[in-house]
Amino acid sequence: MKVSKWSKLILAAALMAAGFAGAADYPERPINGVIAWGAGGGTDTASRLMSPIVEKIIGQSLILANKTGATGAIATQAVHSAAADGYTLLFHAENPQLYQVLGLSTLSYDDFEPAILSVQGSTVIVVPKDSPIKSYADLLKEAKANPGKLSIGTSGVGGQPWVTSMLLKKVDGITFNPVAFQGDGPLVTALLGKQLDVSGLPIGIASQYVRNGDLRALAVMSSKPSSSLPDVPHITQLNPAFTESMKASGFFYGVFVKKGTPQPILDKLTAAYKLALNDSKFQDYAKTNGLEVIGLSGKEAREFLNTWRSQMSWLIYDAGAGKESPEKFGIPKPKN
Amino acid sequence: MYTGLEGFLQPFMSFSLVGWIAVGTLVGLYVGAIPGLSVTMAVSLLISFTFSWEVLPALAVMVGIFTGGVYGGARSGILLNIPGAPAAVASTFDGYPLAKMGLAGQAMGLSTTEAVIGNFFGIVVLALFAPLISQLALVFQARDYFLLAFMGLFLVGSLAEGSMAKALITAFFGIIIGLIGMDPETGQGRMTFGTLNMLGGIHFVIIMIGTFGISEALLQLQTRAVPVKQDISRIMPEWTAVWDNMFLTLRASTIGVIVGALPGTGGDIAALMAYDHAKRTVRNPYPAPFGHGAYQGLIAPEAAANAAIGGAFIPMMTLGIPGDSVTAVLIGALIIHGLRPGPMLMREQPEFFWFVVGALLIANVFLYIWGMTGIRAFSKIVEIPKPYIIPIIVVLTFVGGYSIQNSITDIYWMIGFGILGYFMKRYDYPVAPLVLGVILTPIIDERFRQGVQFARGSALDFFKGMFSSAVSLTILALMLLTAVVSNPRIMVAIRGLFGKKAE
Repeated sequence: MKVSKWSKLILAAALMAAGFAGAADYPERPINGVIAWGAGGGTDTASRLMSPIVEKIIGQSLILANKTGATGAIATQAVHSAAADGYTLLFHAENPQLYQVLGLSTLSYDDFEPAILSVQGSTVIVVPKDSPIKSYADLLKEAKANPGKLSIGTSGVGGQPWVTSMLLKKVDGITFNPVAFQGDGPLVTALLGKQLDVSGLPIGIASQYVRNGDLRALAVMSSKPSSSLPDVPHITQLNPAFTESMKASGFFYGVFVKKGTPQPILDKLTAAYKLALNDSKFQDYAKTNGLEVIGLSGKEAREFLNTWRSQMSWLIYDAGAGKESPEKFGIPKPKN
Repeated sequence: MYTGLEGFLQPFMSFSLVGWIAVGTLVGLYVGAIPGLSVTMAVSLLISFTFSWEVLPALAVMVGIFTGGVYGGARSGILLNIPGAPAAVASTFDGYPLAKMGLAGQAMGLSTTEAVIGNFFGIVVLALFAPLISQLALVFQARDYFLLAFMGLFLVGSLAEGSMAKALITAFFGIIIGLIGMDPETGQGRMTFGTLNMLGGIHFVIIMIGTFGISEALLQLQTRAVPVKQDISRIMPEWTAVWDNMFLTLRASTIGVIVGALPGTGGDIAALMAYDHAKRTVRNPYPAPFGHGAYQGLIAPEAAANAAIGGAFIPMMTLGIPGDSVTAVLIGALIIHGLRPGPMLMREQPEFFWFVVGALLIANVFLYIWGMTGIRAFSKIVEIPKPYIIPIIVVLTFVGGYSIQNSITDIYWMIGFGILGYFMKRYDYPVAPLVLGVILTPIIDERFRQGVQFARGSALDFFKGMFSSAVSLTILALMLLTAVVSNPRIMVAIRGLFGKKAE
């Protein structure tokens, strides 16, 4: 009996030593990366752009694979099922912060540690080029005169165009006739074809059409102007009542590891990704695609994730589109 | 439109660019021939591989892979009755019976020739009419997509060998499977039994590989079919077969370009619709009836699937919107290289558009070279005894199936659908309507509800809208025409009306 107790102790000590050694030598073998969205999309391109630089810094290769489905919930689950040893990374966007409220999964970023929140993107409200709506004030007037009549494009509950329509309803009290599309491509097609009256679109997607004169931009959904569309007013400038909602707005991409990953490993990843963000190729990419490099990690990242979740979860729940109340998961209600 | 024409010559002037296109086309042909290894996947792998390259060679190799891959799918379809890619499903209907008649060499020669003609047609339309066709994509509304996909369901009638009831049963089953997963509007799960894996739906390529590939492997192992001796003395197609069917080729290519250019529909749907069109319009197929080895049943889908390549580039280059899943990945690849296709690129760097046209043209030349030179070797595959070749195919299929979504669950689905497909084939239930249902349902589902939303929640207004729109009326007229043309009794009556004696 005694022997077995001792052997257990020795085993435990050995395992701990191995754990520390693992953290110090990390990474000893190639690292797997699971991209939660399809090839060619925003999460995919941003993730793949950072990888070559990170590989150089940490001296091991990153093997990236796209695992799509259920707005990334399948990839999130897969990374969560793997060991918390830093050898399986999750490349994902904002979606997991909404899984609980939408009833898609029990997981959220509370079950992960952010190695980096790389970029944040904002939405811009656009109308087709010959639309009689020339400004945000026109949009308010038109929508108030015809409540629930103007067709607005959405790309799924919780997506940016949908969030935009809900924010306008919440703060300015205007309602639309929502039309759901599968992804931004078909939505843009319908906008260019003047089938829709208005829509919110990520700036990176909208800017080339705005610059070419195919679409007219009314307002950037952010608390500051966008460098891609400097002439377009931002929403808090038009109506200060949006200030609280714009504290954590838009969408973001990041790299995550399972909670419980040793801190030294996490630090190593964070340091590598911070350097990758400074690379000129990545900076150029962010600039031309209307993304802001935020590079948040640790406490700052957690704070951002929590604020974003409480804003969006309650927005969705109050709009009647949630399956569960945010209260059930202890998500605090935002102040306004 | 015609500024930047010098870009067209750019790929021709560089030895290395021509080389990359040639390599891409060759690799694409073999990637396409392996079930499950898709062009989309090959191009996404290339994103990482060509990361540090200049943009033009990277694009050249991707254009080559795209061109070779779409065509390669027909190879395994003709030889083994296992389509290598979704666009080749329709090529199996008559391609495999031709191989069973000992005409595999002829069938592959014909499919190569038709692929090259269709591809060329697509490139010409891209070069000359891109702005016009992209306008069509803009006026196409939800209800028009709905009608188009609905018209695609007509194919069930063409695929029913013998019992229409059996074809309808499998089509309905396919439609139900196509509904599994997240609701396109509300995001809620449908028929997922509360499981996360089913929330993502079942990938249609997995269903295709299972019902066509695994089932075929099981069936061929069971029946211990003796390999057919292939006549490969002649691989050049009979030119009369090409020439006599040139009008059919052009009609099929037109279907291919338009369906390919519409965002959200690609070569797979184009090829199936072209097959349906051929079966309904061609009176005297040879050397055997449709479904039993008709050249016309191979010509139409091959021309359409390859014409869809040029079509898919139209919205990508002019509007910045992908025409299919491959161009979606291509856009991502170009963004990584700092270029975003669309109206601004067309205006600021028009030579880039012409570079793509030139590269596609070179790829098409190599498609013919690689396609024709590989036929003798490929024909030998059918002569290999089944107990050796089938296990190799199954292993390749598993690798391909896994890599689509990097999911082991998909392998289980594949096996499950393989067993289902085996029993369907044994009891004469056609498997093609099932795959058709799975492919078309998401389009019908999404576009119907979108259309009703556009009509502010009124289904009545949605249907009424069809009679006040030129595009919808055209599709409705085409549907009616298809029904009339394919009904012999009505045709006899019409001929009688015009005073001619019915034959």
